[in-house]
Amino acid sequence: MFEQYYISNYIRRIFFGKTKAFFISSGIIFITQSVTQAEFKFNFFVNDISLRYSSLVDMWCTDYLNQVSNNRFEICYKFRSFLHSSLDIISLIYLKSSKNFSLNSISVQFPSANWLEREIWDLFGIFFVGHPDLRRILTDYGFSGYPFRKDFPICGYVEVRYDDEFSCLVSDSISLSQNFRNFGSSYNTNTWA
Amino acid sequence: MEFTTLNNFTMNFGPQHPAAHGVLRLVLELRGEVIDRVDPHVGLLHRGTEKLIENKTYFQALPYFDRLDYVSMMSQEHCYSLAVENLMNLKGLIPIRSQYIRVIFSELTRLLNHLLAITTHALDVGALTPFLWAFEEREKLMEFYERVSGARMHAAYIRPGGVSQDLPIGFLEDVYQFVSKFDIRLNEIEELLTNNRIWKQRLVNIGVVTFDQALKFGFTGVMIRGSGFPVDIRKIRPYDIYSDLQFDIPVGVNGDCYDRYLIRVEEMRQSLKILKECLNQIPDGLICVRDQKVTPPTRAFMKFSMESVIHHFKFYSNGFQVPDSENYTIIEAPKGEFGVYLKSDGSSHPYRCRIRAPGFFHLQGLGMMSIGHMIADVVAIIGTQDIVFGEVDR
Repeated sequence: MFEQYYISNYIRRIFFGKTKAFFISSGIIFITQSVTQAEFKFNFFVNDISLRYSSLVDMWCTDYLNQVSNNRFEICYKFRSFLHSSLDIISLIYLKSSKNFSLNSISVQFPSANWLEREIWDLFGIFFVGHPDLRRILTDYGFSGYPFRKDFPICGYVEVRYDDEFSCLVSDSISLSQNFRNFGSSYNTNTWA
Repeated sequence: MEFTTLNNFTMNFGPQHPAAHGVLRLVLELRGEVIDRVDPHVGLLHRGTEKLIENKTYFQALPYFDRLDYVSMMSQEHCYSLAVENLMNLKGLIPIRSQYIRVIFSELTRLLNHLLAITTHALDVGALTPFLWAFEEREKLMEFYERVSGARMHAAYIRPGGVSQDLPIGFLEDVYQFVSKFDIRLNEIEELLTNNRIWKQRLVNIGVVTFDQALKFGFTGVMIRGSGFPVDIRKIRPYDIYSDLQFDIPVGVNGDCYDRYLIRVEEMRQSLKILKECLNQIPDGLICVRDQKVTPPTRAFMKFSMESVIHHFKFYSNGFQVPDSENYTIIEAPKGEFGVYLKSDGSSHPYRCRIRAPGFFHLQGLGMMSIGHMIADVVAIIGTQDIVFGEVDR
């Protein structure tokens, strides 16, 4: 546990004034920074001789749709070091609400980011500039829309079924046999219709 | 002189294939029989689990985790339960007996998973018998699941706060009987494979992963231990009772498929060691936290106590409110490092649940691992990566 404080103090001293938020919680250091600083910081995590956080272990996105601050998407990167394997760094980047969302891709430096960025593009609609092969990975081949955004309804817009008349798969607009049952969570914006 | 141009031959290793371990569509670019490029198409089993969880209470979200890696069910439940308990700040309050029960089931689940992984790998490579023997052992393990929860596969037994019910009378004796005989079964399976010339020819120096590549691609678990990195989440970030147990971590040397096979066999033997230790040390006591907000009251109490009726009603209809926080919990699932990131906003539904599946990262590295090998080796590499599509696609 002493290691946790040593490393977090080290990072805090290096980036004094350039980090927006910084807190530690049971084996993870959370660091927030702006989009422009991110690349420099990631290079620092990888190359600094006492840090060596060279492995991107996970990357995900959260959609904060109707929040007071204008930040819509929070993209988190989780790094692991082979020197300090019990302490991970989670790095957060916020994207402001706008029409198009884009970020620089880190898949050249971290090959594990390849599919992770494809997944975020597919499900949230954040474009990664410089990605070698950005196409959908989890949704269906002709799918349109970004399903994991909070304004995309839980049951979607189309349903795919086999049609006897045309003897192939057709996409129809969705027809629910019963109303969507909302069990009273006022924080959810996922209700349909 | 006449020159002819050779084109790469693109072939579909389709979604329906006996060796594709689920729904994997591989588009292979071949030069003759040698692989030039591999492009896995995943997402054929995508069920939108993370989005569905956002609409459910924390308790209702638990069965989704059974169905992610559907061959090692209780380890995902374990991770999710730990994640919810970390959010609710219940970390030191889980009773010791329930921690022992969870560890016993985690290790039984590790046996379940490795039995399937090794022998379906052998089945794909061509050895048909270990598959049958191992599935007989899996039947015995699934009988344990059924005795304790009622369901052979998707148990929903390990819940936030502890476990759902206490172990039946005579259960631990039967686990001991199984554990004492399993070593011999494992010897029988190993006798067919480990020193077999054909098995070694198919596996040695196939799918070699260097330590650097494994770090870069985010490999965890057996894949990175095969390359020589002795990291096991049970040792470096111990959860439940693992910090008190004595066991070893097998580590490989060459990083090829044969090393990873040997590591899985040895991990099974270490699991037996852990199980014996737990069976000796398990105390009596409560099996879930007494906080009635997290665990519902028992049926008997509900019949006569008004407080219990109210708690029962609020628990099963609305669910418990979790304070505004976020946490990322990882465990050593049999396939690698399984992680759950939960973000709560103070209500009874998670705001965001992110599932980090080890198979996703391993499959991503399939392209890197199979360049220069032949089609038959791709089958061996998919088998050694231990891919299950429930967790890759979620």
